[in-house]
Amino acid sequence: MSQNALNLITLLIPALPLLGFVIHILFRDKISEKIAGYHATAWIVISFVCSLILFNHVRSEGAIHVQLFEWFSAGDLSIPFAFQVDQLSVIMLLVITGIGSLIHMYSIGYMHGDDGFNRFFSYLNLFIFFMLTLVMANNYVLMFVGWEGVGLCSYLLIGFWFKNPEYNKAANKAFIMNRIGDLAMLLGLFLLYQYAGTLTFDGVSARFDPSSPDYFAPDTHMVTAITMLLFIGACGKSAQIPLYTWLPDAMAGPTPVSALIHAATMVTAGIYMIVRSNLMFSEAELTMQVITVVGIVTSIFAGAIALKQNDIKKVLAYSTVSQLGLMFFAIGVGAYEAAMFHLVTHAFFKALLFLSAGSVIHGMGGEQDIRKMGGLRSYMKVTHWVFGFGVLAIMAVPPFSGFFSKDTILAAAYVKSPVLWVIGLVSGLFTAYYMMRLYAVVFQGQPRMSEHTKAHIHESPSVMTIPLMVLCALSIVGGLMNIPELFGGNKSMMHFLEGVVPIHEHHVAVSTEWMLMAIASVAIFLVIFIAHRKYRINWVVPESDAEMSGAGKVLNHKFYVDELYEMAIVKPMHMLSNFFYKIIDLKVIDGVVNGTAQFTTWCAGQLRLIQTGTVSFYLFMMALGMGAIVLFIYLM
Amino acid sequence: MTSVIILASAGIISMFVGIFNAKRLALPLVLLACLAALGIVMFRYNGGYDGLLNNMLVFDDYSHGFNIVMILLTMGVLTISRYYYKDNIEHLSDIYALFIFSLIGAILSVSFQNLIMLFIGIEILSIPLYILATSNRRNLFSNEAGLKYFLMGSFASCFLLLGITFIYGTAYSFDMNAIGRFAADNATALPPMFVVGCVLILGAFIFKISAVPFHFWAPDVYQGSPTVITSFMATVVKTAGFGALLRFLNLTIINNPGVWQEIVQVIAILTLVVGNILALYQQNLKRMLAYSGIANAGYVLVAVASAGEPTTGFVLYYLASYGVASLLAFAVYTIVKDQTGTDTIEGLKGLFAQNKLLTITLALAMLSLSGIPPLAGFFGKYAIFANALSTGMVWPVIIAVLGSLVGVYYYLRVMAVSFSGGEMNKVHVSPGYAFVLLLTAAILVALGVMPDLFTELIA
Repeated sequence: MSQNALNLITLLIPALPLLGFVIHILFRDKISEKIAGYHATAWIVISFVCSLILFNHVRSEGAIHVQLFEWFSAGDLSIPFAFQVDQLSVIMLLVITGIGSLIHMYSIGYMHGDDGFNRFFSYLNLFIFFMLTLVMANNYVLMFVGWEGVGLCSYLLIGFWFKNPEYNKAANKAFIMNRIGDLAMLLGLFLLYQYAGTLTFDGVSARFDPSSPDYFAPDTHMVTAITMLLFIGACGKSAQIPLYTWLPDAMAGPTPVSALIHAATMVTAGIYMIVRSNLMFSEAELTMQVITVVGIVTSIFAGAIALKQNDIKKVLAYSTVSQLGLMFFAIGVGAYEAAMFHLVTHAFFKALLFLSAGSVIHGMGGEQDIRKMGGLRSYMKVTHWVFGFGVLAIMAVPPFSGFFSKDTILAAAYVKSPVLWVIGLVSGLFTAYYMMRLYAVVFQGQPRMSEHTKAHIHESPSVMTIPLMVLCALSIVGGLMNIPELFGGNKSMMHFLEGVVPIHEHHVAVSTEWMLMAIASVAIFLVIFIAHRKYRINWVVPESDAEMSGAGKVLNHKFYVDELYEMAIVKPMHMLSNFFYKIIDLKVIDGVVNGTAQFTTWCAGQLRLIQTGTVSFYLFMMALGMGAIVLFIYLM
Repeated sequence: MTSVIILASAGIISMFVGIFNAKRLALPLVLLACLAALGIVMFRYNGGYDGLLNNMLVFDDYSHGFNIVMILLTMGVLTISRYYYKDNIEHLSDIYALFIFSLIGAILSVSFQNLIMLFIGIEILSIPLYILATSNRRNLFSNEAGLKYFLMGSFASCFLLLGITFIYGTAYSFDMNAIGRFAADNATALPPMFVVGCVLILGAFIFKISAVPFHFWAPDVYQGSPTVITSFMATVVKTAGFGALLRFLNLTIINNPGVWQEIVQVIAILTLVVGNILALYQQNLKRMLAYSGIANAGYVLVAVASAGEPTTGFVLYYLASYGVASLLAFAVYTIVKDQTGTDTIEGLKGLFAQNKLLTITLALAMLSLSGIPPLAGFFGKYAIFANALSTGMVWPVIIAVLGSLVGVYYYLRVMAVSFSGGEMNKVHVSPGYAFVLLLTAAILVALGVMPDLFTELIA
């Protein structure tokens, strides 16, 4: 294919969703719901087709670079506005546009009849545009454009039903948590620029690649500082301890948003960023250790919380945090390709689980409490089946996709240390337990909803179930992408990524590998059996909040982390802002002059007071300030 | 110089036009003069050194760069004013003349080569402003704002004059070259009087750019003055203040960082903290923009504190992006206030349903102010922070980044409110106004997408 055609296709991928967004904004009131939905979906599908073409090209010919123009240069700082599609980004492209199109299609049914239908689709298109920019950028600054952009869309979509103040609060929380991450990220980028003198991915990698002429021996302290800051940024975006609490709250948004943004794509941006910078991260041993610990602790912590949640979306949200933790864990032990593999399979089955949960909520007329569900298998057959397969995939039951990706991570952990392998397995056991519980309580047992609700339960329309079936198929066979040698595969995804991430062939004896796999599988089956006994055979329904005992209560309250933050950060911040507002602003400024800010209550009698009071006070402050400055000079 | 003469003539003619009852001619006249002046400045660009009046004024590339920005911003303000003043038309031509005179003052004060010219420039800049602030004569707030500004401004002029006296007393000259030589010769032991003189002059600039602790006037005056005057003060006057400040520093004590660098850093930090935190609590949009103006002065001060070769370009770029974005916000505020009577942030609810153009331009302005890439505000901040960090100023940069994160909150709140649903009166935008809004928004986007075009102007 000619270079020009390739460049055009590359540009079309982000341009089409943007075009969709612009058209929506311009003609929002004029187009009907039907046209709006299908038209928004069509752009993403075309993008997906373009991504497939690029995938084919990258596989045979290697990376594509498209430089549009020199974006910004001042002094030594030079940043191109350029896209780069290599093995890593093309995988992300396929996930984003592929799952993106399915979720767009699903949303046509899910959002049907909503007042903000057209607005919803315009935000979704905009989100896809920013997400594509994030993964296609060839430098950190352009990536940060996408990074901020997806954050903005996430903020807008979480607060989509802005009539509910709770939801706005959730949106604000997500926003603030992400700001903390972004602050670290920005500082990291400044430092990186200071250190490497460039911000393009290739340029930075060259600094850390011993075979490159630009290589120089890394300054460990500096590299550690940079990678730590970038990792904090990744924690904010990918919901890791301590910046994870926004993600469960983000479930306030419409369910397709939870599936697309808060499970399959945006939250994986942190993983993508670190894998993209893998040469630099590999130089920072301390950071890698921190990533391992944070990842695995988050994974177990969130998995434990998910055990006792009773909101169907909250369980899935904590499960997402837990799985993301597992991916960071994989990065920490140096298995970048395993992290990417799990990222892809997780995108399949978690999108599937969220969308089927959405189908359940849709069918139940908005109910999200699993204690009021039960027995849905006979009411929603398709949803029941696809959810069941999703559960098998996430529980890592062979031969579903989750089995292969988790196994790759665990094998890599074992090479580092058997202890890490055990801890990783524990996280997997939590997953198996809470997913079995969720499945059994929702779909098995006796119906527990009111008669009124029961009469209205219905299977979702085909525009919603078709995407579910496609995702279900992917969740089942997704593991084929990277079949280990053990099963006669050749780890095709790993070899595909070889040019971008370092591949460490781990040397474990075949017999050991079989044994590890067997132990893990047996343990998982055992846990499934226990959960199955409790929730399916005995039909135990989770107790209501009042009956809960000690440990369960702590889990149900998510370890009281929100309360802790409230005490430690939010309250003092409110006090400080109150202090600034009430004392400095109201008392000192307005108080002294009796309310210049409140012009509305101002009357002729006070005018004289305000004027003399204000100006003399202001002048006094000016003179005082001048005196202070002069004094300052002489003290220095 | 030709540009100044053209502008001055247009200002004087505009006053006559008022007498002969042809007020409608005034605006086209001054706009045309601005355009002509702009053309001349651009033509002269790269024209090199141009000493005038016994070397009292020098139009070099530095002043050309600032002049282009200030003239463009003034043209924007003038166009908005046409809609603002539509029913208060009795002294319209005088008002335009005063705008032009103030602009001349701004041009002089970024082109001075002699302290006397600096003083004259600052006074020509300020005195028309005192009158303009009270130009809404029947409104008591406007009168109060004008008087307050006048009293405070006179005080600042005293600082300036006193500083000039001290410098003359030690360096025996008003000429900047001579003063610069004096500072270089005595670099190891500057006379205390000279230092105090420089600091007093810095104080006067700090007042003009409304940085802490000389910022108290700004919120009151901004809120009380007619909105077009506020937008002029927040954009053109601030640009002139920084232009003069940086020129003064460059020509005198730039190589004695011990004298000024730490003070500027401390002031920058204070300004960032106070401006951003107080802006958080404003319910009134205009007052919020006033505090945002204070906060933005803080970012530029961070750049000033790291003064060096590339700094001037960054400062000018930042001021231009801030100026254009603020102008856009004020333009939207003007029309919303005029047609719905609302001036609070909450009052913007439902704007999107009423008028998409206004909402989108306002959103662009807010996104740029909050520094979201790829708009101009992001590059302005990025360049300033990266440059400051490379000179080793870690703390001011950390405070500035934190401040900008606080800023994101109050800017995006405006945006979020204006996109949310709610009841609102009909808002109508005339085609001419819509054109101005679109043009300004286009400039803002162009600044962000092609910052190079601009920074090269002054390299």
